[in-house]
Amino acid sequence: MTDQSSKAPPNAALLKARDDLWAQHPFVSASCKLPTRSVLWTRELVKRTASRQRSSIAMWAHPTTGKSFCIECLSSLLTQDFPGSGFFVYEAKRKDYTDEEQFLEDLLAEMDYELPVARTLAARRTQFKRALYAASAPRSHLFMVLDEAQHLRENVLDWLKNIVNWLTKQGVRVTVVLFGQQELLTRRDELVATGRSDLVIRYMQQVVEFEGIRSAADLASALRACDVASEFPPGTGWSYTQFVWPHAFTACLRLERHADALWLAFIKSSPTTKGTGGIAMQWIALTLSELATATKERDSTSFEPTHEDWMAAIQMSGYVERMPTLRKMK
Amino acid sequence: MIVWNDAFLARCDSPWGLLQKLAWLNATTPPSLLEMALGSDRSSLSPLLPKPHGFVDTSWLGPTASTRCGYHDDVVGNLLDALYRRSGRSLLGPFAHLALSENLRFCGACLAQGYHSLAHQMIGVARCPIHRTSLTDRCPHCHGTFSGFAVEGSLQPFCCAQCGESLLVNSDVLKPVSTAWKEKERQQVLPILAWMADIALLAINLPSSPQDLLLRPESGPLCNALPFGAAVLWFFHRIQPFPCALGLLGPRPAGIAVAQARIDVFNTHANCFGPERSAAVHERVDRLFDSTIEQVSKEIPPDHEDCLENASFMMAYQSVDGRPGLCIDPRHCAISQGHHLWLERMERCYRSFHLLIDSSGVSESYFDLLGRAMRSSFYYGVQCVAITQARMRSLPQHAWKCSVAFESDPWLGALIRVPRALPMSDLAYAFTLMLDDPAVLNLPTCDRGAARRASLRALRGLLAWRRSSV
Repeated sequence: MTDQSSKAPPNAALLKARDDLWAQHPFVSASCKLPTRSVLWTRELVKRTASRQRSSIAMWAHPTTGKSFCIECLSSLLTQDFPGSGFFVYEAKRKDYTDEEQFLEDLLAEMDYELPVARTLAARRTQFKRALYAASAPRSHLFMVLDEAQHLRENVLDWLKNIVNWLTKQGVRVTVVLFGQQELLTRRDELVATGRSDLVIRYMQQVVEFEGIRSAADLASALRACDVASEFPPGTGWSYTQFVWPHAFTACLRLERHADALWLAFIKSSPTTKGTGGIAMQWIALTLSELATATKERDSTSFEPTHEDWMAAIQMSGYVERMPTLRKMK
Repeated sequence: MIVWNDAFLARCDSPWGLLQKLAWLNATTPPSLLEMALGSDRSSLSPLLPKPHGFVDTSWLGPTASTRCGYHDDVVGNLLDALYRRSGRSLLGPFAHLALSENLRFCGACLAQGYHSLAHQMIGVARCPIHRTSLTDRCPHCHGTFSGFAVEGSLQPFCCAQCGESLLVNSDVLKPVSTAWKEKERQQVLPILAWMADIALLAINLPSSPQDLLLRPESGPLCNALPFGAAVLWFFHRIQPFPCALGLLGPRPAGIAVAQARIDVFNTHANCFGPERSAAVHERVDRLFDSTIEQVSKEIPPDHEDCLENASFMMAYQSVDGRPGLCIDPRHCAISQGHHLWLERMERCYRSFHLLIDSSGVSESYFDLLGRAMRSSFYYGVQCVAITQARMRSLPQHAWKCSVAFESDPWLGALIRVPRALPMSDLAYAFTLMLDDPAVLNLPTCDRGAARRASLRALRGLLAWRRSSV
């Protein structure tokens, strides 16, 4: 997609599509997946390690930083980077698995396995292994993403290790990416203390903090994607900004230029945190949704969102009333 | 979710191969997988049909499958369709049940890669088109019959039903289909399926009793007649050369056909004429018939003119009789009888080809194949009559009368309705002598009018009999 800066008025097809598909637009439905700087950085990190036959990265982050969103982005971005590779995401449960059979049943349920789960442990293992093996084709590369990885105990990691070993033996390149809360660091220390350095090497060789949007510059990269690196409806070449404000877009409205204004509005909306814990992508998406709804009728060649517009949109998004992730001592 | 990935699917995978792959990836057995995958669609299966559910004729899939169309590869979403489209009847046309084996035939090297196609399943195909190794239906471990070409058979995918050994290479692991393999398949296997589908476009009448043996293996003893399916493939080979060198069990014919006609077996509609062109197609068929008859007339040596005239007289003789039929008589000229048989056949073909054009589309290659089939059949018919006559001469005269009914194809009828006094192995031997190339055809000597005189006598006798009966 290219930055369309032509002054030509928006074509009729775009205006008609805007009327017809407004409610479905990712902006309006707050479902836009924008590659933030953290996501892009994580992508690069995963890409770099994925060249190895067996590799792992563990990412930890504060709550609501956007881990789940990052996983969603990674699934689409890595599929572009490594076409033909498989992507398996498992969200670990907060429960102690005492037997492998139960764990495998949960894993198969996670992938919506329709067929009856086998009765014996060996058969269940075979079912899960082959399901992952099928997913890894034709590139023979599997990205195994384990969300909420702080819940994964030693025995579970051991079971997964066997499966990864089998896949590796079949020539499948396995890249394990762990996402978890800060407790993931504790889990790593526990493994070291119990002498399971093999598991540490296997899963947590690199432990990296995943940061949310922490500056106007981070925000700018996400907003730039709205202007140029996004498309709706697919195949039309219309960026998100162009679709939502077609007249203003032709007059050179670019959200990227409003990154500072939006960041300032977030800081003002939550003066206690001042964005130090990072702003989750969820709030950015909700704010953009509110802004689009509020200014839909104001689209014109002279339209530019004002500070008041941003403040109102943030207010409506619920960011101000959110559960604080970090409280400053009074 | 049923575990599946299109990376494991080859274009020419047989339905058996596809189901085995699906079962392997899901770590289950093919019958249970099919049952589970069908779900609510299970009611569309024909429950009355006995097991096993074979893949040569997939009528057990029920009436709904045959009404579905399109060549999409939605294996998981529409397993019934995927199996039906790859079944023998669907992919190879009406001759599939003759040409395909009910037992699984496979190439060990292909099966080690998890690959099996309908080309392996053809009875007359001697070697794997990809590896050139002999095809087998026996387990290499226990030497028992591996399994049937059906849903039921093996307990585990790609495993022998008797000894349980897996034939997959590399410790029982199914590999995705590589690009190199796809290319090999495109070059070696796809042309065979296309060849068969192409032949199926011709309105060829085959004998209704497949137990009759037609052909003996090249250089083999007379008693070792080929299975009917193998003979059928060899027979088609004479119309359009089999696309795989040294691939057939039968001997190599001289070959009228010199160039291969190709169609896309998976997309036959792309080769079809639309209804707006059907008139032009009819005219083209007319011209083809005229030109072929003219060409064959020119190829007959000039000293047979008298015999050919006699043939037209014989046609009149039949119309007097009021019932189509012809007696092969060893005293008659083989060429005139053969020519007459052939003209009769042309008339029938003419009607059926026009009906075919009205009822379904034909591909561009159709005309080429049709011309070859018609021309070859003349030489084929003359040879058969000559050989039949030669054999009949060794019998007592009262057994000479050999009625040929035209309800079925007289061309083949001449072969299957000879007196039973002729040993079948001799009849099979006759096929090995069939030459379809005019350049090497050694036509039998002419009787110089003996046929005409005999026919006149027969006609007089018949007229006298009719008068007396009236």
